[in-house]
Formats: sequence, C-alpha cells, structure tokens
Amino acid sequence: MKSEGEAKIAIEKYADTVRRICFIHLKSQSDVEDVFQEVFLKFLLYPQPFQNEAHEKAWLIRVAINQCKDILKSFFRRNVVLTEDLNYGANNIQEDSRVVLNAVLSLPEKYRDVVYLYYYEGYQAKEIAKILNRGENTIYTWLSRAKSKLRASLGGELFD
Amino acid sequence: MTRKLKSAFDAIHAGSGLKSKTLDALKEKINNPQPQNKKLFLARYAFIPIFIAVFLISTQLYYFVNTPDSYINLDVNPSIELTLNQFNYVIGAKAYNASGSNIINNLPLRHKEYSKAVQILIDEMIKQNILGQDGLVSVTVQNNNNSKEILDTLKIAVSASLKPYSHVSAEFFPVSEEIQNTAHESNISPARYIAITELQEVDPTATFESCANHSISQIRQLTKEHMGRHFDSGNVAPAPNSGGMGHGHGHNRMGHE
Repeated sequence: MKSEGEAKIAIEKYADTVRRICFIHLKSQSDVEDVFQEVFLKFLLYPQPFQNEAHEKAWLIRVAINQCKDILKSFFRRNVVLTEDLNYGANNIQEDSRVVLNAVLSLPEKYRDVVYLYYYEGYQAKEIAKILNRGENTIYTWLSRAKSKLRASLGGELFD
Repeated sequence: MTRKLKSAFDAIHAGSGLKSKTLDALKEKINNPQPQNKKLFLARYAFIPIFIAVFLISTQLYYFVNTPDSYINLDVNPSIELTLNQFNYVIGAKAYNASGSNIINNLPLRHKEYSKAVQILIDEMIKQNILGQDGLVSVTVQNNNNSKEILDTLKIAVSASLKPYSHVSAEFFPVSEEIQNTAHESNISPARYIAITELQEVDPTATFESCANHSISQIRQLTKEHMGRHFDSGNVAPAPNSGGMGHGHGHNRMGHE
C-alpha cells in the first residue's frame, strides 16, 4: 500500500486527467467523486511498482475509464434518470470550447475515449489500443468515424 | 482541430474541493482501514454460509425426494413394482418380467402421485387387454409406517379404474419388509412370492421358475385345485389367501360387481 504522501502527489499530478475522463463519461457530481475515490484508492492499493511515469499515467487512465463504465453499467444508473447539471465541471468555458466539447459529448462513448486519448493526450493508435484493450485497426476505424462525425457536427470552420 | 480540442479539454480541471475530498477519503482508508476491510471481508465471504445452507437444504431435499420409502407391487402377470419417496411420489418403476416391461415402457410414471400412477398402470393393462376373464390384480404395499393409508387410497383408485370390468377383481394387502426383501432376492413381486409359497405348501413340486409365466389368478387356481386333492386324500392344508404362512400378511380381496 502506498503512503499518504504518494497519494497526494498522484492526485495533484493526475486529477485533471481523471477529471477529463469523467467529464466525457459522467454527468453527475456524485459519480465523479465516486470515480475519483475509487481510482486513487486502487492506485493506493496497487502493489506493483510502475515502470515509469508513462506507465503510471496509462494505468490510471485505463482504471478511470473502466471505473466510469462500471458506474454507468450499475443497476441504479441504468434505471434512474439524473436531473443534475449536465455541464458539471465545464462551467466558465469559452463559447468555442463549449461547442467543441458538446460535439465530443454527442459522439458514441467509445469514440469519445479515442478522441480524448488521441487528440488531447497525444497517444498513438497502438497505445490507445493497449489502454482500451482493443485491436489497433479498431482504434483507427473509431478515430476515422469520430473525425467524420465531428466534422459533420462542427462544420468546416470549427473543425479546421 | 487538435488545437481546438486541446484548448477545450484544457478548460476542464479537477476543482480543489474534489481533490481535497478525494484525499480525505484516502486518508480515512489509510488511517482506518479496518471497517473497509471488514466490509470487504463480509462482502466476499457472506456467500459462504448461504452457500452451505443452500447446499445442505438441497442435499436434504434431494435425499428425501430420492430415497425409497415405500413399495407398491402390482401383479397380474405382468408384475410391476413402484418405488415411492417419503412424499408418496413415484421415484422408480421396475418390471419383474417381460410383460411388465411392455407395460411400463414409455408410461409417464415418475414423479406421479402413487394412486395416479397405479391407475395409469391399470388403464394400460386394460388397453393391452391383459386383464382377462376372472382376472385378479394383486396389490401389495410395503411401508413401515402408513401401509394402511396407502392401501385404503389404492382401493379407491383401483376400484374406480376397474368399475366397468366386473370380471376383474383386486386384492390388497400389506407386506413386511422381510417378505419384500425375500421376494426381491427371488426377483419376483411379493404378491407372487406369497401366492407361490402358498402353492408350495399344497404342491411341493411348484417352484418360482415353474410359475414364472402364470398369472396370480392361475397360481391361486392351482392352489385351490391342489387343496381339493389334499382334502380328497384326507390332508389338511391352509386355505389360500388365509395369511397363515407365518409371513404376517392379511389379504383383502375386492370383487367388482
């Protein structure tokens, strides 16, 4: 088990990354808090040392995505419609960015992950395939489809 | 596009409240891990007693459902034995001869209530025209506790099935476990065993093998004939169906007028 200090460093370092993953999957504040606690608790309890920082980050991203999916799969989540602010965590954002984020959120869930990991985190398709446990060709297909959909929803000017 | 997406995602941050809340929760876990561990332990192992209880109940139920408790034997020739569980449902059907096999094959007897199963058997015998002129259906019950109750129910069920067949009669009697076991060893039904041993008392040359193809009514008829000869020659022999052979059985014959 890692120490409190290590947990604090990890939160400072990766909180924004985990928050962005939560943003593209979750809509409620309590779900985000749950995912945060679960992800960093798993980090705390992870017994093996990470090979390097990239390995540590990829591990946290994978855990965060899985945790979000688990929450969305839960019985309660499937049967209860939340009325919370859908833009939780995305306040005070410029109009252009809001339009882009809304376009990303309108994509199917699997495309959102690849868009975020490819365009924002800068991962290659091969690395994304490893994180999402999918084939590399699948990732290329998803990226291509996501791009087409974003182009269709954002129009030429914003997309360029 | 990449720039716009980067700039859009850059606008999303984890608030300080979220970070401190997470850190507090982790501190709680680090400093006070027991309740969580206890919870995890309970969650992980709570199913064990439930599993054991379900296993024990299932085993008990399986035992009660599948353990033989009573035997009903029907003998006309065919000779058939039904095995009942504690709930008086049929858990097995056995034929003691080929004609018995012809009857029970493809009949839905398992898991039927015994009186229903016996009615099915008699209906099949009627269908196959086995209950001939002066036919006799011998029904024996071996049960250590409630033979009488089973016999009484069977009398009602059998008489209902045989009502249109006035030429057929039925006899009912309980048999002891000892007779049941001895009959099993000779691979014949208790009713047949009793009928043949009665015949052997007046005709010592009679054997189980020689009577294998006789119906119960034929064996009784042979006993009567031999008794007549004994009387003619001045010997005294026990009356058929008297139960006087030391086996502790008593017959209860029922005609269908």
